[in-house]
Amino acid sequence: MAMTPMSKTPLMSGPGRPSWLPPLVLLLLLPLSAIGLFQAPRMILAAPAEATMGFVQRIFYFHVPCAWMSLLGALICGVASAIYLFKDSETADQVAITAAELTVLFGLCVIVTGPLWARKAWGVWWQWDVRLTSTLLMWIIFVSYLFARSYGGPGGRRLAAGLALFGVADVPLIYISVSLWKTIHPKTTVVSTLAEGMRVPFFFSGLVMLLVFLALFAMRLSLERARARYTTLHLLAQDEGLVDE
Amino acid sequence: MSKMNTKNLTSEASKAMARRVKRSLYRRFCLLLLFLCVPLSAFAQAPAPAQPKVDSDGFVADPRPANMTAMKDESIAAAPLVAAAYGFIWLAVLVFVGSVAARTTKLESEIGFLQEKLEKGASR
Repeated sequence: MAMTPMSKTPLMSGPGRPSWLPPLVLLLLLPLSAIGLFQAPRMILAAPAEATMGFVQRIFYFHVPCAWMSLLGALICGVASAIYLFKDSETADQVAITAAELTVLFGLCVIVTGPLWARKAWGVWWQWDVRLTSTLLMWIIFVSYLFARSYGGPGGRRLAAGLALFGVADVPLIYISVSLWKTIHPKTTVVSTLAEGMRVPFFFSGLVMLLVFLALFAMRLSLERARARYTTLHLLAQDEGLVDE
Repeated sequence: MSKMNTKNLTSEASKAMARRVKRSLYRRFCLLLLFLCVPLSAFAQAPAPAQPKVDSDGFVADPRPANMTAMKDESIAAAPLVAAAYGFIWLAVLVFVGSVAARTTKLESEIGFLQEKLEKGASR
């Protein structure tokens, strides 16, 4: 196979940008989300206390945005996995694994912060309630997605994409579970009926969490692109007999 | 004649008096019935208060799940829980950023190594 000059190969990183420099979107998002993460607790502490639960209700301001980001990640992963399964798109596969890792990350935050709130408000760390159980189930599905990708062998990516479809099917169930079944978990209407002083810190926390999500998404996606570049370079080097099989 | 008239008048007066007493008693009885019936009817309409289920040993069963009532009287400080929750989010994000940065650095060095090999191979 004839070698093309490296500077003209599309597999190489762009000639104008050094490889260590993160994309522009990251340069903007990372400091913004870090500032937001410092500012959010100040606004949360200044918000009025909830009458029944008191101080511990302040967990709500970051527990719910984390849950939203986890559901957003699951939705993105599900849609991207479907595109990968039906159109065999590499980009869709890269987006899917990025979103899956973020679903697991934000899902873990939900699963940890929820019991800390529940311990004080309900008197228990965990309750096998529909909302809690379906959220845990979705988290386990996306953890198994990552396991399938890592240890599933040659067919692991397609197997994982199938799992993601099951995971995304759980998203509407999680959302409507509090309205369909009798549950001790607060209903979805708490957000629309928030008191005046609680609304601003809550939506600010939501915005900060979205910025964090986007920054991490951009970071993780650039890693996945680098991995694809590495795979192609490795195959090229193998063809040339420069590296072992 | 006059004696007869006087006798008749006295008996009529006493009859009228008896009628008045009877009417007054009847009215009082009706009022009493009314006072009794109003609260009774209201009580009949009100749903019977739910009685807690008592089992054979006489214990009162709490309708909530057992694990919810186990620690209900414990008092826990809320501030450490809130701080732990927010701290965990910070930690998770930092660990994730660190993990992605480490993986990227490793991959970039491997890409650099491969690029170098391919460039050397092309120049040969």
